[in-house]
Amino acid sequence: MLTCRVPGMFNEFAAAPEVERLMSSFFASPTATGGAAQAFPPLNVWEDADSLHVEAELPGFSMENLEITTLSNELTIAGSRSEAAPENATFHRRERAAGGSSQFRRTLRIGVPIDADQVTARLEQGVLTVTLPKAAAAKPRKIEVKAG
Amino acid sequence: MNCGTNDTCGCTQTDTTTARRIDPRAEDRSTATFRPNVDIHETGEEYVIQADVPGATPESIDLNVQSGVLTLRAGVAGRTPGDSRAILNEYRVGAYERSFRIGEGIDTQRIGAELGRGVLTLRLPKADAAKARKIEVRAV
Repeated sequence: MLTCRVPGMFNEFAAAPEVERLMSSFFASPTATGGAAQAFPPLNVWEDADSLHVEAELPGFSMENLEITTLSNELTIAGSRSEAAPENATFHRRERAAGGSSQFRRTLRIGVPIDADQVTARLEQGVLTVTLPKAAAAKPRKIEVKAG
Repeated sequence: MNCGTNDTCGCTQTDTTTARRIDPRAEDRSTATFRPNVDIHETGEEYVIQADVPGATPESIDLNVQSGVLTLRAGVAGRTPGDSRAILNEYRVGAYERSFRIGEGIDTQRIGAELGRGVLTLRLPKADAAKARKIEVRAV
């Protein structure tokens, strides 16, 4: 396991292409909701040197409607939205609640060790972004070559 | 707005809009245009259109009424930094566009728009002539 390694040793192997692919395939397998095609919300996930970023479009939700939890190597995003129906109104179109968007729960397995205490989430203009800083052992590290 | 009791609200879709989640690996993310999901309801006073436009800002939204067609457009910039590596790509980010045919019963001068939490709410007041009116019967 990568997490069990002595820090500072063998970290260069983490950057090997084979390991990277393995991490990606772990990450891309949703565990709780079955196939990715039907899962709500759809997610975009990207990484930079320091963090993984998970983004979902959740228009109409506020942070009070959302529950974001990490447990060991899993990130769960859950939420429910209840918009009060206007009184004495006749609906002509109802498209926004389609796709299970009024109540959902989705769990992602994360393939790299993260620093769970430093996970942050923000919701701006209906876009949720969860930032998961990588644990020190999972960050790329430049090894200085000293002159002997 | 030509809203009858059935679902013939005259919400026309332009040719440039496409289903939201197609070809997640497409590279040309910034120029894609999507049709936002909407709810439309009617009360005695007004029609209300609520459109999901996550990522749009008030400055990015353009509303236009011309020849009985209300057009909503919103540009949305890509949010993924260029130096990052994509791991999962389940939806695309791009501009929104959708048009609605509105009838003569709308007071177009008083259409109101609000944006909050990624939801655009348009209020289209009915013109006085289009409101239901109770006619008093006077005793003579």
